[in-house]
Amino acid sequence: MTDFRPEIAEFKQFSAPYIKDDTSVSKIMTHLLVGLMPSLVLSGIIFGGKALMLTAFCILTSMLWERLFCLITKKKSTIDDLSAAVTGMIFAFMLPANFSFWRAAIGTFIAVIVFKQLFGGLGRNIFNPAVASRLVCWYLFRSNFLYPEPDVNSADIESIGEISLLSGVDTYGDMFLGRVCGGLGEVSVIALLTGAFYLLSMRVISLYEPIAFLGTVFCFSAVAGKDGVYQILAGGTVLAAFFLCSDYVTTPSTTLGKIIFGILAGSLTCVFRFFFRMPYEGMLIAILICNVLTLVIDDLALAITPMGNSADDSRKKSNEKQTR
Amino acid sequence: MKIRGIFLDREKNTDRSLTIVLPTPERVAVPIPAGCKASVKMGQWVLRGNSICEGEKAVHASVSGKVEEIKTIEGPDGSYEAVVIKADENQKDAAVRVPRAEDRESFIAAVKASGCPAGDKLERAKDADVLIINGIESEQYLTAENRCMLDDGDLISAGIALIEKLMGISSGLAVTEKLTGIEKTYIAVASDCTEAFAAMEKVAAKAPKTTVVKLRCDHPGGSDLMLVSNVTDRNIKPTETAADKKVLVLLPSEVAFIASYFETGMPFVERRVTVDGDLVKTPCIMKAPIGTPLSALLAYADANTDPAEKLIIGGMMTGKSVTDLELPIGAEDSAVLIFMKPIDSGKGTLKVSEKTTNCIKCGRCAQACPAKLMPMRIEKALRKRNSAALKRLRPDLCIGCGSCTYVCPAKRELNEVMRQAAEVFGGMGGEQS
Repeated sequence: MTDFRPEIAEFKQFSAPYIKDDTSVSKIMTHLLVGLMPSLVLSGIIFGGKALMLTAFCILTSMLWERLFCLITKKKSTIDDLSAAVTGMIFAFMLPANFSFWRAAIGTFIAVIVFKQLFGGLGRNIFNPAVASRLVCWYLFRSNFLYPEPDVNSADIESIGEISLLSGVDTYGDMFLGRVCGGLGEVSVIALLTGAFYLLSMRVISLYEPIAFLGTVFCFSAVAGKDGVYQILAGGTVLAAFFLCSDYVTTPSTTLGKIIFGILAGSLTCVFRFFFRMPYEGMLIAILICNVLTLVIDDLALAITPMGNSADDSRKKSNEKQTR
Repeated sequence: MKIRGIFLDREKNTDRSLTIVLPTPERVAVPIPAGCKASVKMGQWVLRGNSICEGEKAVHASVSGKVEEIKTIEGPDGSYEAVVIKADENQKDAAVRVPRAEDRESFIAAVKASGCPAGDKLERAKDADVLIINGIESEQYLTAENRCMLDDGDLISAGIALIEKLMGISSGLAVTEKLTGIEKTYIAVASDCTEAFAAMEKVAAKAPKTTVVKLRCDHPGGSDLMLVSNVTDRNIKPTETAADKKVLVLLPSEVAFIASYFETGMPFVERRVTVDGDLVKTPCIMKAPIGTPLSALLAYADANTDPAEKLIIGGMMTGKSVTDLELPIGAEDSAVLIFMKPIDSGKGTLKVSEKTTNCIKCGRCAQACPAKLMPMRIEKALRKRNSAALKRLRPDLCIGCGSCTYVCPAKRELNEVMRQAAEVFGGMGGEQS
């Protein structure tokens, strides 16, 4: 094998540290994809092959849009960071299983191009692209959001073809397993928790936001006289808690900020669900509002816990001046 | 409160190798610290241990031979003068006087006269009541202190006894003022260095006030900030040094040197250096005279320097990147590492990819920072020249450990950014006051 290494030492100046952790954005996104896998498998069992095909279609189209955008704007291709795949997968999880493909393609277009790339690409987007696009699709194709009956149905309870939040009759066990109507990936709580456990153990997501979010939903529901556990199990609340609220880019990065974000998103979700009667889109609007407030929340958290005890330092400095 | 760091690969090729004494190199270039002048002239003969520097800092000839020239060397931290000594065939030691110390002041003066970096540390922390022996080498490849703990156990216990005895006696203070002296000595050892821990247990068994503490082997475990807060539970702020908290932090090699210095009187002329890297065929720990050129060290360790790209003095996280093989090693340099140019970015031993992506705001840099800073916010503030935000984010508190760059999944050079931000911040502070 020919070795093209130089024969004479070419020392270069580097800045410390000279070694870096073996992590990257694409690895984090791969972890997220793996974390979403259990839900995909269960959606295939619950809703059949069409759910799998819709998810695959959403992933492929989002990556295609990303590639096309990079080609047109002559940017370096960012397709290999896999964020488009994650966006497409989460977007698909919030769709009914019999959603038409061309509408799904429009949805991923809105997610990847409008809500991510036009903001400046991954890292600069203000809104969670999947959530924003799902909300836009809800208003565009409202009549098409007909949630199908799950193939695997509970024998003893007759399903009435309505999402759990509206009907309010599904049992805890059915919702936990996912034998209810709803978005193809968000119905099965057990699968989502399995994926979330994987992500937590790989240190990709933190527990602060999910716990704050779910806890707030539970407490708010209890105070408002609703069934807290039902509110958590129904309507993709778990998907939102573990995969939407713990998205890196669109949520605060301080620990305190994460908790504030979770509490705010949880209470807004409940407000929209209980008082504005928006079972389908209330949670999404709540998350988007909190996405906008992310910077404010982070600044607030920083103001509460200042860097390096600056108050003490200024006192020390004034002491030094006095001694001089 | 305990401060946690980040875990690095504990990739230490040389943790089992013994110390090799480097054969006297052909010529050495002993660095003279800034502000001092060489006291020898060209053509003069010096013996090993002779003082070659006049000024407040002491420098000694590390080999015996003829002074060839006094040249200026462009180092990574600016240029400095160095005395080039051509070694002769039969190395002769100078007639050295065994130092004597009765109290704290004379002890510190004696250690400073030896040229060991410990002198300055003793001077700064002369009121310390706790001594921490920093046996933690959190960075990859560094093993010199570990080897010192394994080899020089007796010297370390003698050194501890000496420091404890002499730091408690002071003639300069009034009788009414009570001098506490060193009340407690801790030997900090990383939890995975079991052999060093056992060796240090033996040392602690001999000294009554000494305990060995096992610390998590996370980076930067050997920094003042983490040592003081994790070992003594004293609340230290990133702006403070260990001396401000009345803690004296010394390396095992320095303690061992103090003991040997008071035994033999030979000043600080040689130190242990780890020579490692993927181009080094036999990674090893060498005892080399100070001022040995890097090329001599690398040649003795069978290093192939041709395809090299990275040459680092010090550890992988905080060391200095240099481009000249003829640079001498200084009194505080503990390792020489050399790495080849990777065939492709992201390949090779170091797996460093040059591909930088947007910040995804994952907050890992803020989690990793031992000083609890937020490098990503500082980077943004620096890019936008937002001085109000910079003032609030305090980049001057950075201790330069490099953890933020290490953990960043977007491969951003945060450490460099922090350095620039600290400069900008310093400029702002200067304008105000």
